[in-house]
Amino acid sequence: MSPRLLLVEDADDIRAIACLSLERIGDWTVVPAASGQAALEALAGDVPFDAVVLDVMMPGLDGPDTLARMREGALAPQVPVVFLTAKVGADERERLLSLGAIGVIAKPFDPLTLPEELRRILGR
Amino acid sequence: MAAILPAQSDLVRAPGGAPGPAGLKRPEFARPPDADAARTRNAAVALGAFVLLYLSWQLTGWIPGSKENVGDLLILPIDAVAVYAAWSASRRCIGSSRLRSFWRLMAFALAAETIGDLVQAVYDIGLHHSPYPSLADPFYLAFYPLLLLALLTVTTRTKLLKPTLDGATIVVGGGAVVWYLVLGPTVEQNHNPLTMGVSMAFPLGDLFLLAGLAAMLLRPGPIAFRAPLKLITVAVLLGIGADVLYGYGQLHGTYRAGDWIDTLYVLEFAAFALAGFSQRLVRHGDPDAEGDDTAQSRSRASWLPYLSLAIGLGVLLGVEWGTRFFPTVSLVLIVIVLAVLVAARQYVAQRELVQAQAALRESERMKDEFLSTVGHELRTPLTSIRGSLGLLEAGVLGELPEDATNMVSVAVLNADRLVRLIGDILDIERMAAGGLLLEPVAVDATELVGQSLQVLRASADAAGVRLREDVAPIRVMADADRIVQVLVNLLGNAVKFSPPGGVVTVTVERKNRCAIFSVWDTGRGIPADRLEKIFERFRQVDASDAREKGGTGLGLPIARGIVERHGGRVWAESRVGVGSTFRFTLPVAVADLEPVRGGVA
Repeated sequence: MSPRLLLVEDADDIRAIACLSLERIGDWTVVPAASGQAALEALAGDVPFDAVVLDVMMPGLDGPDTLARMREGALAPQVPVVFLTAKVGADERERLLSLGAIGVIAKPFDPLTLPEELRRILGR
Repeated sequence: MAAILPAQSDLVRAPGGAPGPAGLKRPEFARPPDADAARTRNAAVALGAFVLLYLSWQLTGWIPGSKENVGDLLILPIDAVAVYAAWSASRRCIGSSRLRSFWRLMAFALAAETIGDLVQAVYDIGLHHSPYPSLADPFYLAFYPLLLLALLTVTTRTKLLKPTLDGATIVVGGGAVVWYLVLGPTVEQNHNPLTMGVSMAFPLGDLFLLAGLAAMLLRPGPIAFRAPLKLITVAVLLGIGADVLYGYGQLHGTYRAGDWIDTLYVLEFAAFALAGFSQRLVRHGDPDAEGDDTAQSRSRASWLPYLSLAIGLGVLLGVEWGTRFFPTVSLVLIVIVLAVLVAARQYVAQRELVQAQAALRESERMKDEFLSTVGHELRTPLTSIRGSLGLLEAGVLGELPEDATNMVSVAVLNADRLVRLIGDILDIERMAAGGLLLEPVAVDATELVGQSLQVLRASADAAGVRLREDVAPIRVMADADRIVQVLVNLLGNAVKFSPPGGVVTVTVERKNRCAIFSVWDTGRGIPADRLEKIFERFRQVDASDAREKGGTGLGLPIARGIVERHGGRVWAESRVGVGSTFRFTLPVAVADLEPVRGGVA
């Protein structure tokens, strides 16, 4: 059984590309979510996730907000979260890690190396 | 149909010369392009010769006859030539109603003066009796309103405050002089009303001409009027000066016909004549016919108010202070008015400058913002395109037929080019806007060079270029990503411009507190005069490089921007045919500075 990944990204194209990359090149079972709200609903479901990839800039509930709700609502408190962001400065990286994420992936990412990068961050 | 068949005989005739084959060819197009210059040159020679003749007579009196009579007669030919010149100029300006009216009015004004001179000659020579005022004076006086109307016709009316202030300064400055020398004394002398009226009409006319001249010079006018404008200015100023001296002489009973002051009138009319001949042909639809010569008029006339101020004050202060014609109070008032006018003008000019600078900064900012927005808007879809193509090319979605793989490769290659170009444009704009943030930390030079060579390895292999490194173990203060970007840029160029079998070498050495990074190639080299220019935006040594080598022309300016923001310097050395070396410096990390002084850490 391949590990389950929740991919939260509002841009349809990017979500589709990341899904393909992670499923075909990596060995993930990817559950896509188009918003923070959708992500929270998916996390509240019965089947647990092994990791969450969370876009930072989203309309409505953004990445950090979604993470905060996850932790508050005790939704999957142990699941490692990796942020996806177009801002790549060291300050921003520090800030995101301090929110409780275990890693940050820069956008635009290369779909050919994305699974490898995620694997490295998760230490699998 | 005059508009369609304009003044053909005039178009092919030299200034005073033989008629050409009018109407046989199409004269407008038969005319050589430098006909205007040739006509002006011929006229200048002829008029100069006449002026010399006149001057030689003034100095030696070699022409027999009384000074009055010869003087009266000698002024007539130059009068007639000036009238002819203005009239022919009006016929050359078929494409501009404004210029045509100007030259017609000029011709009428000059004709009025000519008739005045003719009547005066009849009095002096024929009747041996010169009354004042005489029948010549109505003609002389008609000259002023006609000329003033001409001066006001030729330029465009504007509501600009600066020209108005300048004009006011000139008129007050000049008016003070005219009042002091001529008008005031005339009023004082209390002749009979007719004499006084006529005597005052001349200097008043001059004052109006001065205002008209200021209006003409300070307002924008047709570009086709550039050459005559200067000569008209000289002529009007000569005329005003001559009139003031003439009025002064008349007042004190020292002026006589044929006086040396007449030389100024001769020069005035020679200048009017030359102005007429220098008017270039203006055809229908000529873009310069009505175009506003704004920049010209502003810059060329900015000294005029100061000149008039200097002349006015010089004359007023140079002569006796507080004479009966010019009480001290009015003198002080004039000076105050002039000072206020000049101060106001300075203020307006300064404000215009500040506004122009603000507008420029704003448009720069909007351009940067626009480029940045467009860049980001382009990058988002392009990222998706590149990502999808990458997955296709890698066969992640299944093996593609060979033709399809080739096509996808072409698409990938070009998507990468676009990504690089957009990235470069965004970098350049970020630097221009001062928004490129760096995070320098102590890093190993070997690490930086290693990463960069890694990136370039594939393309160097493809080009058959060997990569070598000789890097001293130095730690530098650098934003690693950005310095790798610089090195990749320089190495990429070196590989691109190296022939197959060439060698590209990276060296890092230490010099005092700096690390010097050098990228050596064995390419064709760069001419010495281009070594600096290539670091400017959008420059390449050869324009065709952009197409052939696929560069954006932005790599080196970006490299310079990044290095300079690290406190370093970037430059190029080259020998054509041997190769080029691109070097940049970075500060050595502070911790590494100690061992140098202390020997062993």
